[in-house]
Amino acid sequence: MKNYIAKRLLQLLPILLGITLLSFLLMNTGAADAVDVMESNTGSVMTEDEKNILREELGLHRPLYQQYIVWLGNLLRGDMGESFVSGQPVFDTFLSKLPATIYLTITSILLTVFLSVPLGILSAVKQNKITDYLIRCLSFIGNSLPNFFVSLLLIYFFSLKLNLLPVMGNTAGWKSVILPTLTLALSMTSKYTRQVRATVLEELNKDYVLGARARGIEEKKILYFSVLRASMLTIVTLLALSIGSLLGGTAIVESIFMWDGVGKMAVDAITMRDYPVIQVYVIWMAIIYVCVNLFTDIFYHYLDPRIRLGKEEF
Amino acid sequence: MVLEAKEISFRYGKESRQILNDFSLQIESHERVGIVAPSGFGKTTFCKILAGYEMPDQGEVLLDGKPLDTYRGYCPVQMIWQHPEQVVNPRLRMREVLKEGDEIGEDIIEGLGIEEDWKKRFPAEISGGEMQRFCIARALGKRTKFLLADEISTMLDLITQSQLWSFLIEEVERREIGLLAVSHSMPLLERVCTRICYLEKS
Amino acid sequence: MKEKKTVLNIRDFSVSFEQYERGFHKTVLPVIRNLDVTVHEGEMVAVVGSSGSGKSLLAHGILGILPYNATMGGEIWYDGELLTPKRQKMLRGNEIVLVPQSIAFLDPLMKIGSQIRKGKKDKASKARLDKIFEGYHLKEEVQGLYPFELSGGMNRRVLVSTALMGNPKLVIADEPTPGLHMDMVRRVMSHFRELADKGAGVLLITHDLEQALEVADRVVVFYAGTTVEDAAASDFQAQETLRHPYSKALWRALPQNGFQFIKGTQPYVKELPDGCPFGPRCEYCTAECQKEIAYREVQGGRVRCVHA
Repeated sequence: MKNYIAKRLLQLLPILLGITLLSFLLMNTGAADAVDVMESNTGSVMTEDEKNILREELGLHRPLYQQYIVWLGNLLRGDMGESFVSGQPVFDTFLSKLPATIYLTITSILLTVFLSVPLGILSAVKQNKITDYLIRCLSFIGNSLPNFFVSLLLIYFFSLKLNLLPVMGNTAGWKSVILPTLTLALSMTSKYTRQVRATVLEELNKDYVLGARARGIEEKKILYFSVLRASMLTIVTLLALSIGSLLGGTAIVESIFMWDGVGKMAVDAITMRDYPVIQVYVIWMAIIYVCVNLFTDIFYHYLDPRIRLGKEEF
Repeated sequence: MVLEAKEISFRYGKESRQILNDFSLQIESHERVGIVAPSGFGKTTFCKILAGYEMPDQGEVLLDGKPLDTYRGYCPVQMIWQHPEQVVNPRLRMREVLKEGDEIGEDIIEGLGIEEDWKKRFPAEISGGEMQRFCIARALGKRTKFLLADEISTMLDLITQSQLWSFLIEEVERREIGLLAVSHSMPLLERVCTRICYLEKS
Repeated sequence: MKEKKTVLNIRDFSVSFEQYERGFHKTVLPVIRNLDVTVHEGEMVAVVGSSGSGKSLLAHGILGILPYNATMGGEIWYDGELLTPKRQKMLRGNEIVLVPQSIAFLDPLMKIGSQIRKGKKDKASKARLDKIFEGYHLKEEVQGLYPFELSGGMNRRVLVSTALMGNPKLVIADEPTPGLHMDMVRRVMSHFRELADKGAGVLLITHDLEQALEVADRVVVFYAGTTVEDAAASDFQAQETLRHPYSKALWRALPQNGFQFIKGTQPYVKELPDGCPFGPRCEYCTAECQKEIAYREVQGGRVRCVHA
């Protein structure tokens, strides 16, 4: 197990290197000349000679690979340049936004799991009965409501009508996290309930369940010890992907609730063409997905002996 | 034509057991060769190698003196499997399953007793015996020169078994297709084959 | 034979499925129509039918583990009493046990030992399992393995072991040797013979007549959802001692008995003929065969044919 993790971590290095290279190249080809951008941002007019001197100072005259190495070195030291807009170091800005996003990610994932797993199981066990129809109907509705609409509804009822919760911002303590969490969890729960139901049903139809029943094992035991465990393999994969996208910030929900996280940061940066900020965001997203995948694989190893011990083909 | 397996050795992956070791066999077009071997000998693996599904670690498969993998397109060596339901795409209707092979004569469909109505169905809607008929038809395309039958009637009832084999014997004789039959049943191989190989575990 | 207690008596057993076709049109598929079997103490009875003919449903019906959209009819008597769902729940895995056809019937994520012990960790269960494993020459380490780690030879013995944790009086073996080599088949079958010799009733469900004849005391021939004949295994030594035309056709199709075949295939459940399902393929078929046919005693066996 330790060996496996070490091996996987080692494999991450070239991937991360590749990602940084790509995002560096993207900036260099996609963005306008940095000096031109600075000129227009500062508002001062420079002659072509002055610009060239500036380019030399900034190292822009050097070959691309040298620029990359310098850039990578800075990156490792946490220096990713300054925002075109605020002039603040982007890495610090990013770090200051991160806790809010992580907070929202944790609350919404927890709520989703606590709602969707029991509902999905219930729906599967009561297949084609009234409970199942009801759950499926609700999840269908939840699935078809867009996030922004749900959030507006929630704001309307809880904040404006009942005056219980703050409309926006993340300054009112635990109360302010409730509405964004609900918004995110509602749509995810709708999705996951169906997913859990489908997976559990699939497992329930497998021969080993029949075998266990024949051996006289109680239905509950089969469900909790065998079926749920096997279903977890699929569900965890999906959850991991959701965690990934949540950690990347949920642009719409963060914007609506003025939740000051990385998603809102990214949207703002895109509208302002603030390339250094976008770059931090791109690298962050890449790192998240690489890590999430790693954790999923490790979890698989832990959960499924067939993967851990290697299945022999015959 | 001659199908020749020359000194074939094989195992799955580095850590697993040696399955075949220096194994050789020759089949001619007019022959029906039966193989009897203990379990774990690698009969299925051997068939897969002969049909080009697996590459041997050592040795080679020659068809008329030329390595099998130099034949492009439709493989003249076709294999029929023990469990037909495992080698049929569950999402295709049987009609489409038949089209996966080479051109198949109407006489084959008739000879195997495949009914028009079955072709409209999905694999889950027909029985194992019916599905095996389709698999046999699929393997008997116009360009098939050798046929490998790996326990093809083990899962079938006796009447279906005898129906299918009687058809196969007639068909391969008429078209001069060489046949390799693997079975655990001696009486069956004695009925079907012109020559029987008894193999010991290596 | 007669004095021995009847363990299992199944009368007029049927299983049908409800199916929705093209949306809302509901059809009923009668997969099993008339199935009659009895098993006595110490006896091994084989139900022989072609694969895909729904024989497994018999096993599932006895154990009460049919899928939810299946409807069961007829009567199952166990140990002199009607087998109700409540009794099924109580007895299965204990007095009535199933030996499944493959390790797919074991939980892939659970170790063999705790799986067979059904999660129990007390000393008695452990000792019992150790003893069962010893009897089948399975090492103690096997208990710590996962199903996928078992070798082909081992998993048969493990599957038989799963059935022995209780006090089996009725062992149901559903196609226990799919595609195995003859040596292995004999070995597996000898395990069942042993159980029968110790006094349990064994119901062997298989498609392989040759195999059944080798070990079973009686053979019940199953055709298109119906049991057509119940005969002593020794009756299969000659065509003349058999009763039903289908059994005779099976006999003639044996490679050693001529390898002859009759035309046609078993009818699809949706297109079953009235009366005898074998009628359309039978040379003796008359108008009478298209009516309901009684299962009657003939020469010490039973047959569902008006001409026998």
